[in-house]
Amino acid sequence: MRQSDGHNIDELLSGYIDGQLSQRQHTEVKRLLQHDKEISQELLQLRKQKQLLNSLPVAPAPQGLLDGIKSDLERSFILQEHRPDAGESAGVRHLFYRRALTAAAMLILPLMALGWVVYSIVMPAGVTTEAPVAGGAGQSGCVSPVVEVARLEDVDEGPYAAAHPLSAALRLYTGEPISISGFIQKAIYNNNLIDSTILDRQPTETSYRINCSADRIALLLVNIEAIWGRCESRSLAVHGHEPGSDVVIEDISAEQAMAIFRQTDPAARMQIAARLADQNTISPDRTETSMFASGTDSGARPTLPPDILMPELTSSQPQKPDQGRDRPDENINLVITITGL
Amino acid sequence: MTVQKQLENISIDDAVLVRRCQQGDSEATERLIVKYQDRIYNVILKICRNRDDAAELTQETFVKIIEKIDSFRGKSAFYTWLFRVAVNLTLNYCKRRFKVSGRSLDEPLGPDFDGARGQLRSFLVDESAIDPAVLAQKKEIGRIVLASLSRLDDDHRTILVLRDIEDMAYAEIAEVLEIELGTVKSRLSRARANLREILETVLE
Repeated sequence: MRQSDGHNIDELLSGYIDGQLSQRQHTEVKRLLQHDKEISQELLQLRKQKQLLNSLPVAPAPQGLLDGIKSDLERSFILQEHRPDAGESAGVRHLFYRRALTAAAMLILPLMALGWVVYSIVMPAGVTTEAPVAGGAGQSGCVSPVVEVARLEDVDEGPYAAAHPLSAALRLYTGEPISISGFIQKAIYNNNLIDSTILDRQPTETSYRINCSADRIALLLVNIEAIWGRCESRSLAVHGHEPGSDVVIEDISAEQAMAIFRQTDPAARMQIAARLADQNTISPDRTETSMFASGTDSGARPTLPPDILMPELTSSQPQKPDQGRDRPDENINLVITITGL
Repeated sequence: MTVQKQLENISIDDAVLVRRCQQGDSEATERLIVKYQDRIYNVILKICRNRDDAAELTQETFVKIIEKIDSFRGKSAFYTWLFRVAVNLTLNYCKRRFKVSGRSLDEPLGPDFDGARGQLRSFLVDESAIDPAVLAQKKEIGRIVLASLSRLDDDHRTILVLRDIEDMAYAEIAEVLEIELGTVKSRLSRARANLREILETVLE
């Protein structure tokens, strides 16, 4: 290593061209340059070398980098990759709830047993301790229908609906796919549907495969209704149980979609879908004659008549009892696809 | 990008953009990316010498930065934090690549480069030679310089990129590379001396 007055000469020259030397070091370099031609030449080369590096052309960042970053962030947001502690804290909460439930059960079960013993001792004469049976002797008339409905639901409607879950595909065509996609992702996140959603990102389109209850789908649609006007076109395909029985509703409005998802009876649901498909296709001006109008870009959204969500059945299928519009046990498969124009 | 947009990006202070970004302002996030994407891409490209990998590493850098933006407390400048993440990711990539390939990715410079070699040789030894900015714009000259740079080891190449290409101050380099100021000085002088030797060999 070459030294001059206790300093490394390479470091002195390097510091000299960067203007980083003390006064004493600066003077030392000046002295070296005057007396050593080789060092003088070396300094010239280092200076030129630095100028050359500094003048190298600057390549622009690749086109689409910003979009790529956004896509990665969206994916990360959906998969919660940036929250590795989330699972851990959820596990701690789960353990706490399990312990709390166990403790509660240990307290409540002996109390119930004690209560039953006390009741059997102090109960009035002539009353049996057997549990009431639907339609059984000695029951008041108002209990029976409630129990009958419950039994019908348990035995018939539960399996029937489970065998016919609604499967549908909502397609949105838009000139601003990234922001629309971002909006939908936020809505999915806000509705706690991340665990029920599978993201599929292709070069030309992004799909969200959501599997959850009808209530939650309806809520999600309410939250994303604002994007309707920013889509060039929208269609909903409702998949029937028979091959070839799918119904595609063009230019569907959010309200129309909600009406279909809220319908719990599969046959009625397909009937609504078919009527909407005809209506949206045939009549460009649907505001007066339609069953309920589809959305328009102007933002005018007619409200639904209250009775329209549960139309009368005209098919030959046996009608199931009305269980209310929202049934949490029926899961819906909805695929929302955003396609860029 | 328009000149107006560039001016807007420069005029807004990083600290303001970072604060807005931490509050979930997506426009501020975009502006931070647009403001630094070219510089980060160029630093990474000159260290790793592969356009596709540089694009991917640039993307990874910004994703990492934005994901961790909430943890940024402003103890150092945003700019040095950003460069630290970019350089660390790139150096890790270089180590992995070396383990896989075991050799440099640069192809040898054939006789087509003889003219450029002559020009570069006279530029380096002649005080009255042409403007370096004009010379560096020539494609062959650029290739020779970058090929010479790529023959340095990763640490030396990185410090030359930060100082001589990016014009970073010694203190900023110390922060980015997380080394002492004295180490910056000694490493930089060794890197320059090594590059000078490599250039002499290449230009023979």
